[in-house]
Amino acid sequence: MYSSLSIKNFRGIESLQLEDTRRINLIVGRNNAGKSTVLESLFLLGSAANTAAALSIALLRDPEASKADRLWRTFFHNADPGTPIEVEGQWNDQPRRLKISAIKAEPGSASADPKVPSAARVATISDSFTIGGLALVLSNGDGVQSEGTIKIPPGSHNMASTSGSNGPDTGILPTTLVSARGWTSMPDIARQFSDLAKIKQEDSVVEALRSIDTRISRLDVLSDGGSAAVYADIGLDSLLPLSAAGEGLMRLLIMAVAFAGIRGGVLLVDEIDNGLHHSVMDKLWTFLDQQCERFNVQMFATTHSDEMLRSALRSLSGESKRPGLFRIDVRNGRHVATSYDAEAIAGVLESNFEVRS
Amino acid sequence: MSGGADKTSPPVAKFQITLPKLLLVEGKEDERFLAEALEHLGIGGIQILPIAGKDNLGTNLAALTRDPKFGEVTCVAVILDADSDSGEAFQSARDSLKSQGFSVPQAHGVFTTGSRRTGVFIMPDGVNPGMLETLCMQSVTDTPRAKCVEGFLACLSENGLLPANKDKVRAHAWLAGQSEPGKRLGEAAEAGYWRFENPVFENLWNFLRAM
Repeated sequence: MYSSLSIKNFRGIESLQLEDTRRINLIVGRNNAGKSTVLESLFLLGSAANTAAALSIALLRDPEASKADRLWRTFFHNADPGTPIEVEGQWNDQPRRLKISAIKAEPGSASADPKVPSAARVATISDSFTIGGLALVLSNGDGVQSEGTIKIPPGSHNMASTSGSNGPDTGILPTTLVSARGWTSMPDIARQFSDLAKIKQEDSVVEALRSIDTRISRLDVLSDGGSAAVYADIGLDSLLPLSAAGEGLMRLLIMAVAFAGIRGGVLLVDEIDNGLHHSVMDKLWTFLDQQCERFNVQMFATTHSDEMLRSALRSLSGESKRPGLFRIDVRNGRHVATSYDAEAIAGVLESNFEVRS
Repeated sequence: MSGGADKTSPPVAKFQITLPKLLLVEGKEDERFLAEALEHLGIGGIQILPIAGKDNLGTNLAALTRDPKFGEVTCVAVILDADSDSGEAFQSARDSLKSQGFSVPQAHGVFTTGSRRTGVFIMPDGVNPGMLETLCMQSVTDTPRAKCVEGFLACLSENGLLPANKDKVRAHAWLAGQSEPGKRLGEAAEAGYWRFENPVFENLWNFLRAM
């Protein structure tokens, strides 16, 4: 598990440290405080030097971006590609560091995106840094573990990845990020459910979904127009596709099936309360705690919901289950993480203190 | 306002720091009593936080220091009951303050100096055992009802029925004998039953004025 995390120069965060992280961790804070950025940092750190992961994270925020500079400029703090991104965590007492540097676009590459001025009367030349790609380096206490680059070569419009001698995937930590909006494709969900069924853990998913809809007695993976989909038996004459279910049920399904694929790794959930009624929150936390324990998974979740937060604090009680609780504030332009220990959490529950900013 | 834990209980108000001076007290009745006292004294700018018992001082201080607005706090005062031992109550309060990084007052009723001052007042007077009820009853000791209450306590004692906490028995019996019986301690303060002008309260008032 990560016991600490340090982020430097990533998106809006110049510097932020989280200390004493635990099995399950909650992150709260105002809009734009950097909560989602913390999850993205953890996803990148877990992905080693895998450039597809960096592309995924960039596209999460800006799905329309096609040029490398637009894709990745906002990765860098103050949109300044001159300062590399550094994410470091202590994983099982070992340092794990990811450094992401911008690669300057080469002349003639599509990234340079030259624009011919019309009727210009002023000629300008500048040394502005147009980003052509990213270089990722993962290292641990023994040195560099893996390297990878992703950029658009001159004369091409497509991104190309290259890797160092160890390959970009050396040192990958299985990590799943469930974003606040949108979700995994149904075939992927079906595949993950099948992985759980292979190890006879599918009942745990049914149990989780029953906290929202008690009619669900069984789940099955069926072919749907050629692609696999998860169907539910709710007592009707035929099974129903879960793709037709509400947001809450779908998000719960995505979380529930993720565990088999990230054994020993990390689950990241942004705005975990989305689509969930307060009546299912306690059961959700109990389920997540059991699954994290069963699959040895560490979890980080963000939330704006006071109900979700308090449900977690109540449901995950006792020293071994107590969640890490971090509030991120921006004070005088600097990010600060306030951590709540056992005593503070007890005080929050006793006197109903406000935790969120 | 946060939602209640179940459908039948009303929403519980969330505590948020709104003023720069905080007064931590043991319970709701202490809160009502002291809110009335502050108004009587014309003292504003103080927010009262009931902590549901002196054993919760440490956890409440831990949560308080992490409150988003804690940086704006300039004074934290604590008022606790001595119960059986005033010295022990004071030391316990000091230990809780120290463990959460606060400056620690050297004596009962005296504030520390600096950008965030702290002070501890142990009821009734920082020396004797007792509680807020002790002070309240001292303020009305010469009233006819108080004399009747002593008779009641004597009767209980004769019959081996007197509870250990005599001050609480006195106060509740005195309140039960009012023209509108059944008021609790804080409610009684709001109704003007306790004699705020009595000198027995002067040290407590001075502590509040010094915040």
